[in-house]
Amino acid sequence: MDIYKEKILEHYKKPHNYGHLKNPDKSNKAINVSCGDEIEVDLIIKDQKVTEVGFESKGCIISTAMMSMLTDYIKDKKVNQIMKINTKDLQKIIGIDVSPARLKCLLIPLQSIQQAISKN
Amino acid sequence: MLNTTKIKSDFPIFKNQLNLTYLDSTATSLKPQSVIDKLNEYYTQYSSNIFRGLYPISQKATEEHEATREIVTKFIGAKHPEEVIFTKNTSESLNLLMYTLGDKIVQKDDNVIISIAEHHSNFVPWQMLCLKKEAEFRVLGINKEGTVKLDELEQQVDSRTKIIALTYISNVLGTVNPIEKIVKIAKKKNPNVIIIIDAAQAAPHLKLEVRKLGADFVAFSSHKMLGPTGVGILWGKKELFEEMPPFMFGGEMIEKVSVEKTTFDKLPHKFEAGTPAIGEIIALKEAVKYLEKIGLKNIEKHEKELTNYALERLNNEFGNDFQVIGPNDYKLKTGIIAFVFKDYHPHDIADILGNQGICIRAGHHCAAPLHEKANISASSRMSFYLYNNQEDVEKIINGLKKVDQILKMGFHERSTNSKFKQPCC
Repeated sequence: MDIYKEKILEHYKKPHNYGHLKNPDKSNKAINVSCGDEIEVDLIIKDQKVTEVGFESKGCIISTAMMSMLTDYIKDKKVNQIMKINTKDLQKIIGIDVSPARLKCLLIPLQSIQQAISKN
Repeated sequence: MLNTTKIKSDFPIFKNQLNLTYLDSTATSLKPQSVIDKLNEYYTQYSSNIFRGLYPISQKATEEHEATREIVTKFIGAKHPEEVIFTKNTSESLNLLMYTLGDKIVQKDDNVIISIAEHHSNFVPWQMLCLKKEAEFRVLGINKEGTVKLDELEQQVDSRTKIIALTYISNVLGTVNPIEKIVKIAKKKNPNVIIIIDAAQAAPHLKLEVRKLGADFVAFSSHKMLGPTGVGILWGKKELFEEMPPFMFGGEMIEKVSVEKTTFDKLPHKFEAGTPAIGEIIALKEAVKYLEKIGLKNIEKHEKELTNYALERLNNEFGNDFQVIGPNDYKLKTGIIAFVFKDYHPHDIADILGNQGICIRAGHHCAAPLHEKANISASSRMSFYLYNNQEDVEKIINGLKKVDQILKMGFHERSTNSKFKQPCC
């Protein structure tokens, strides 16, 4: 796994969509107990589409860069499409093969968003 | 210090992994050629089951297997070989005690005492037992020196205390609990209390003298002391083992079986149901021989000197950016240094070091309650053994500099308004 990749480091150092949203439709906090990563995400949803997304987090390179790229990716996508995103899609979006030990770092960003969408 | 060039040449992994800086012996140690050869010898020359084979290779395997028991008995200062039980690992040894002894003697409103610095394998079994029995689970704190608070121990032991289970050396702090003192204090308050010592980090690094410690049971693992994986050792007092019911039922552990009833074999077989890890147990004796050849006192001294060097160098090089979990004083530690480096995530540190051939551990090291107490979710950990030297320390220092180069000016440092604070110890 190449976590030195420029693109990943850029997202880690300057994550896109960083910061909470005002008056979000959905909010959620996801925690990975085993490594202490925490992600708080806010969504604004119009006509079943995510129009705005913001997050704040504490985490490693992988989870931060993944969240930065994923928040770009889900913008203007329908919620039912977002609910179908899986690990394979995440690997494509981030552009690296992640070792099994760090798959959780990829998944927690997705879980934070999917759990937010599922909230009533 | 030990001649690490000579020692490294005994460990074939260094020939196969030319750029290896192995700083994770607390998780598992590397293996010398003699151990690997012995394992190979069993599988190629007398591979057979032990005890009941009426043919020469089985008798040879049985002799080799039992010779390890004899050697381990002497190695730990025990009296009787039948007091040395082979299990799968330290976790299984501790679970054996929980399921047989613990289940028998702990009742409602009794209590079991452990410490906050326990590895999960000496924490969770006792927590589960207390939940099941509605007994009290008492967790001792640790002092500034990173060892069990003795005054708290004295207060907590009472007539309802059935078991005290403590680690000898913390796998995070590297600190050494004064077991002899602990046993004296505890037994003075309650002479019937059973004292169990998790010596997984002690047996490889200092001279273990089980009878001198005064504890009732001592558990440790082969794979952390140069031996093969899949072998744990549980030493205990014969009279206590004899009163305990078996842990598992099956082959080798019975005396007589009929439709009406079953009686069990004598020690140690009563606790060794089924075919054990024969080759691994046989090869363990070579690990013990290797450790004895170098000398546990010399190993302890070597690790202390190296820890002193490492702490001095790391503190000088990184100052407050490098925070040791627990005491930052080599005199209070063995060769284990768990740390937080700036606000960098331990998984990133371990990953970037890993790419440079430097092996460390990242996470909570199976000691989540201790990390929670220190208010951190995870840490990085380097640990030393007899094959490590100052060159390894310099390599990790250079490695950490590279980590810093890659990760510095991360958004954490600039987003000071964020509610997510940096870890602190």
